[in-house]
Amino acid sequence: MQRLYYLLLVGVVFLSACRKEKFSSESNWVAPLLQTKLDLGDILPDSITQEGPNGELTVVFEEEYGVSNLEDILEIPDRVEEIEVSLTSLVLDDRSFTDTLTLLEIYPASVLLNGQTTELGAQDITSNEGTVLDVTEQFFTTATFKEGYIDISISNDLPVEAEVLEFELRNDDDKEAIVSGVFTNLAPGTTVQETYDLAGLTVDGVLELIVKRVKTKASNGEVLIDVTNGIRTTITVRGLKPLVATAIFPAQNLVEQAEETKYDFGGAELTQVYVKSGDILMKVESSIDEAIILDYKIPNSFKTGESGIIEQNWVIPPAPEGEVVYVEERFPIDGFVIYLWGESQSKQPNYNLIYNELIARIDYSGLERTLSLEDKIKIEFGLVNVMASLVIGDPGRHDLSATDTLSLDALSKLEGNINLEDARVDLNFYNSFGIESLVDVQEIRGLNSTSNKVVNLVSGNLLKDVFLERATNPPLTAFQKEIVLDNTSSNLKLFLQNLPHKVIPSVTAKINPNGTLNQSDFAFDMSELTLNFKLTVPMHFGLDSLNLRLRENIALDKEQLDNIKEGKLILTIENDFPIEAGLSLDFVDEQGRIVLTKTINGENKMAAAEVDATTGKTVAPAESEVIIALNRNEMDLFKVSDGIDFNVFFNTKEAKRYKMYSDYEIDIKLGTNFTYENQL
Amino acid sequence: MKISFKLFALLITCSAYGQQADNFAFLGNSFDKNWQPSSIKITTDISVSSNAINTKMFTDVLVRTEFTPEAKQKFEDGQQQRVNLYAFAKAEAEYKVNKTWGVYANTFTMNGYAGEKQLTELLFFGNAPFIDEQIESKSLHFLSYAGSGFGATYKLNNTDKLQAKLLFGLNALTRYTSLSTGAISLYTAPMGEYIDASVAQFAVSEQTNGAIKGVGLNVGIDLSYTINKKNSVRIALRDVNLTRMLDYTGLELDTSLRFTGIGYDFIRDTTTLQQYVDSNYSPILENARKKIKWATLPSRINLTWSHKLNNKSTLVTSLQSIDLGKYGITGTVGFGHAFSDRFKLCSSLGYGNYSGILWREAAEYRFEKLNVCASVQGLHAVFVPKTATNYGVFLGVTTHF
Repeated sequence: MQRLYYLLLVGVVFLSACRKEKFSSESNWVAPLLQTKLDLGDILPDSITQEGPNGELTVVFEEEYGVSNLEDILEIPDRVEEIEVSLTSLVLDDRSFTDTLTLLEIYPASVLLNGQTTELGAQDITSNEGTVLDVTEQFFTTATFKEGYIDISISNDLPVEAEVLEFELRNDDDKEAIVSGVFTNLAPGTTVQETYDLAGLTVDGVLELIVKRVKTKASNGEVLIDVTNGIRTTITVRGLKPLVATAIFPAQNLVEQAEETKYDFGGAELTQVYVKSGDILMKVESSIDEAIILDYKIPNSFKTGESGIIEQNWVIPPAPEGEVVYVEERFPIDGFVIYLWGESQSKQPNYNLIYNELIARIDYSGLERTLSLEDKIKIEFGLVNVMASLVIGDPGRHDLSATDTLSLDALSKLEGNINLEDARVDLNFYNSFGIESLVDVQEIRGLNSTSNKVVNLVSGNLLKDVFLERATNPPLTAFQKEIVLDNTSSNLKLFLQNLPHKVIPSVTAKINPNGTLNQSDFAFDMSELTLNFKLTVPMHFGLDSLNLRLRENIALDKEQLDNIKEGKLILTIENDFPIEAGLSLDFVDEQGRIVLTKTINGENKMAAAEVDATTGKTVAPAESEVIIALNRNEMDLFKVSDGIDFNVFFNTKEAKRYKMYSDYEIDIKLGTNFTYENQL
Repeated sequence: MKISFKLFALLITCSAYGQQADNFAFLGNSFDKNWQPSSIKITTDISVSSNAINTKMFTDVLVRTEFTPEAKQKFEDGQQQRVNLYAFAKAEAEYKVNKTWGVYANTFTMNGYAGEKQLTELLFFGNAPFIDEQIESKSLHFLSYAGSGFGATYKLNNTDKLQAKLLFGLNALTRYTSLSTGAISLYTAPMGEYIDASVAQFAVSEQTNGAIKGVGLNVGIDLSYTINKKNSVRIALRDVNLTRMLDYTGLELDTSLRFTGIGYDFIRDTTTLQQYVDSNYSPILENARKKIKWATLPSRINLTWSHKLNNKSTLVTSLQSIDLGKYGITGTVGFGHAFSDRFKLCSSLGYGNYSGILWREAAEYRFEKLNVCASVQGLHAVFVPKTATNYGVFLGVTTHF
């Protein structure tokens, strides 16, 4: 019984575990895949095709070489001058102060005799006590002088002769003597003066005047005693040039500069510049404890339609003690005209020089400042970022060259034979500079990158030394010259039949070959010296195995393709072109190796549309069906491919030439008929 | 007539559940009625029903790797308007733990399909045979799932009058695909240059990478009621469920379109074809994409009436519905005869909208501790293969330790 149980169990397990090979069912599907239209615009970009009145197409390749901007040949460099100056010319005003040492102060007992007429005996009084004189307001707070004088003027207002008068003037603060002296035999009502040198001395605004000794003679008889009279001292400071001073300074120029700034224009000699845009740059570093006013001007300048020259002033604020003030300002000079004669047109040289003046000054502020000859001011000034709208002068002689490459990308996908008619090259020389030029087109090379074949465009001497006259102004009128190359004047047909992928002209130009008359050459900012190269190819051609190559990646989900066993790709084509096409497909893997090739030719190809002999246009599209079959093996190879190289071979009937029209197109529908395996 | 196939088939709920207090676990109800602790029942149940799939096609699926041309032709020549297909397989083990509780585990797979015949042919064999022909279908639904489950059984009641058993547990789905549409039509142009398609209420699930597609609750109940000594009824409700789908999405579309191919400029377009397709068509799919959070799998209801003719013979009538008829309704009448208290045979005939004519034979033999049952459905394929469109086999064994 147990055995039976086990057998049954094994049987159940065995039966339920039985498996056979997976069942599948094939189904056959028909479906459209893709649709697309091709016209000549797909090969030739719209930007290079032109349509004639009847829709016939012409391809135009155009490139321009040369100078199209004044800045390409002339740059006005920034010129910034830098000056650093100390305060060499610091001055203080001449000032006077008067003080009287009265009789009462000299001889206090005289108060008893005040107003009386009596005899006054001889006196000899010495003293060390001084009178404080605060001349801060009248003179300065303190000053150390490089130069300066102090006049001490003593007037005897006493009724007796001053036999000896000894005095000393000193700073009240540190009691440092400034001046001292002795006057003798000063009769009543007379004045005596002495001058003392202040160079190297420091004088404070608070002074002390000490009359050390006054010796008077007895009066000559009775005299009126007025104790308010005495020795009148007048202190005058003059010619003051301080090293440093704290004072209220008068208005004065600190810096005065006038100079001609020289410019280098790379050989050009300019006499006038019309400024389109630009600035005067003013950068100041100042340690001066006073507001500085900067005045800058370019006297030889004007603004069109307005009065006035280029001039501007800036105020630099006072620098706090021990610090430096930085100021940077820009003043636009757009629209101004600057003469580059220098200071005077009659003086040589009269070009490339800009005369300018700069003054740095202080105004009377009424405020006390501390200034020193060690204070400095550094000024950077000049013209920056100047772009000219017009320059006049002698541009000098220059040589230019250009070898820019014109890529004909549209032809890069083509190989084979093409028979072209009526192509032409238009070379248009254009000069809107007021400068003569001599242009030499040395060669025009056409390179086919695939075959590495070079064909030069040969045209005799047509392109040698083409002289371009200067433009005239006003109004600005450019000089133009046109040279046409076609089959009669050059080997253009041969040149184009090489299917050049790159056209490489080599052009040189001599600017101002014959010199300038009266420095009257000119150049505007929009002036141009250009050579326009225009290749016009009417789409009137015959084809003999012209090959178009395209690579398309097919990064499809391989899982989706796994169940597709075999199939056909069916191309249904409606073709307006009088061109037949065969197709070769190379299926390539990730490494670019060809894993499968399918060639479509013979009867299985795109048929050419028939052309009406009268109109030259195709009458109706030609319908074709092209079938690309992939059997099971080929389908397996297709599944491992990463991309397809399409090689399309075009032929016109017997390679005859036909015109191509803008409404020609190829309508392609791609469908499929494939066998799909359903896994059940 | 040569028997050209071997089939494993299980007959579902034939007449097995009509017996009262008998010794037969499969053609009776002894396993649940006696509820003997430490007893186990193992069953394997496979059935395939279709009103249109012919015998040859079934044979090809079983023993070959592809359909033979004759089988395909026979299918195409069939006159039925709709094609229904229901295939179900389940292996289950139930163990009685004690007098009240038991546990079960199972694994299952199901494929169900219903659609118009022409559309079904198109889906099977491709649209190439239907060039320049309008194919229409009022509705179509397809469901395919597989998974495993486990749970518990509970004896709700066990009297002479009423036996009730409750089943509840969890399911884990390892495969789930569903597709349904309302009206759908398809036309392929003569040269294949375009396809016209129209779908309403189209919904299809998308595949995910996870091993487990969804987890759900599963509930069932068996009720047996003895009306009187001769009559009893049984209701079995199985696979009432709700499944939480894990990271599942589906596409819902209502659209009519003419597809003439992808408009792609090989020369000017700078993207690859794949990128072009992705950028143009992905947004459409994104708009149509919806999250599928819940799913319900088809449940089964079985109603059985047993009438005792005598001590040994019983007449059994049953009606089965899958997913409330969506995947078929089948009615059978059967006759069971116990030749001894160890051996019982049951024959039944019936008809279903998915199965067609149905004939099954079941036999159960009881050993000392072991009951073995085998059932075969579709035997008439041997005699009248033209009428045979359903097959099934059932194997079951119970024992106790």
